[in-house]
Amino acid sequence: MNKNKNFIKPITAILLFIILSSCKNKPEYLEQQIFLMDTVVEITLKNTVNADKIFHDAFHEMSRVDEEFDRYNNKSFVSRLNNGDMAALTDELLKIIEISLSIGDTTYGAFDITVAPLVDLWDFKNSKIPHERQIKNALRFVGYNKIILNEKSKLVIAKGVKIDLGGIAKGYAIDRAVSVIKEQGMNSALVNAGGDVFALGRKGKRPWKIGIQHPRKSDALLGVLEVENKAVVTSGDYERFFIKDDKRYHHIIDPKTGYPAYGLISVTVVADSAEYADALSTGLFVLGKERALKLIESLHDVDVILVTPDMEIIVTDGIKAYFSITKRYKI
Amino acid sequence: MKKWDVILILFLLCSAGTLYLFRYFGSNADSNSLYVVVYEGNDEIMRTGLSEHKEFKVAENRMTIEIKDNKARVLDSSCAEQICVETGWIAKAGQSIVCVPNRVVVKIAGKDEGIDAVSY
Repeated sequence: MNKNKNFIKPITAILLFIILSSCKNKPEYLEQQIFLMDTVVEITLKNTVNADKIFHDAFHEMSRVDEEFDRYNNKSFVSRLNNGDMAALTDELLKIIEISLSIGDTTYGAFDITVAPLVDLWDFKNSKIPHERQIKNALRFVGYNKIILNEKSKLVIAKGVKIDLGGIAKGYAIDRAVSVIKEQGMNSALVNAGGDVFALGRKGKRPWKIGIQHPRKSDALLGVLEVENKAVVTSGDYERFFIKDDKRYHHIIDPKTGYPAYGLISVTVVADSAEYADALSTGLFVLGKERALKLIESLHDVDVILVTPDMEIIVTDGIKAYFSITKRYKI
Repeated sequence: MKKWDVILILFLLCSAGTLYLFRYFGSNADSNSLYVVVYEGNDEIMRTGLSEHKEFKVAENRMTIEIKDNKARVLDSSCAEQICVETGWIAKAGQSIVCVPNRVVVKIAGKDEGIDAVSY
């Protein structure tokens, strides 16, 4: 009799615990967002005791990157450098410029951190096409090879040429946030800066699921990609554009011609770093289908989803098994 | 073991099982229902079903948001560049419309295919 009684107490305790824990609904993941880098940045973290501190530190780091590398902020290191103040060239800035120039090489100049004077000519707000003469004039100050980094890490910038890290800084900021998150022992998180994403680890037991925006239907997805420990960055002609005489003029400008690039309508790059994916997606977009595919073959650990103007969807082998195209768009 | 001990254990087992099933199916039932979440700055100011049909103003009347036919959009906005208006309709979980000047985000949330973010 006594033995039996001893049994009942622990069993009752266990069952009560199951009942009570069923009632408590602690969210598995937490989300926070802030306005930064001309968009909204959202971070998702596994719910842990130090989540608040991780959110704070990650956003803080991204704000720092934004402040230092934004050319529209006249106190930023980039602005100071553009005004000839070489003291503003920090090791970190030098490294980003170095990587940018190397991606410039890789993409045959399609990704170019000197493209700003051309981009500035295009007025998407008032749907205005710049005059040919203006484009010709701006082209004189565009070309990533007008910035030279010599062996002693000395930077030489040709007169009138300005550096704009807008095509890579967002990706870099995402990578920095991911580093900060990892340093604090977190192994499951998502950093989403206006559609440029890094997925750290898995979401619980499954990979992170990233929808890819349909380039011609705002309320539809092209498909869904499952990833872990990868950056997913998309460049599309649908983000900023105007249509004049049935022609779409969008914001991804070919640095060689000064006009929008028309070979592709959407490029998604899946890579190990958001910095690389950010710059490469722009470069591949400018290159167009044939040259982009040829280039990707020579790169390691990079996968892409390309969409051509006639809505052909090309997915590279490395991610084919993880990308499910929305049924009605199946090729 | 007394009769009442057995009854007590059975009762607790049943309660635990029922609660578990409730949570399991309860969360599944939610999966088909999407909703629209509106943020001003970092604060959530509104949450409403995507299946509703309505129009409402946010950001001190500087923006109008429309929900219709399981889609949402910014109908008009005071901002200069009109990027939010030009984004058009959104309908899938993870999609969002951002108006930086008015500091407003319109987001579709819910468990639609479990999508965590949309790359664009």
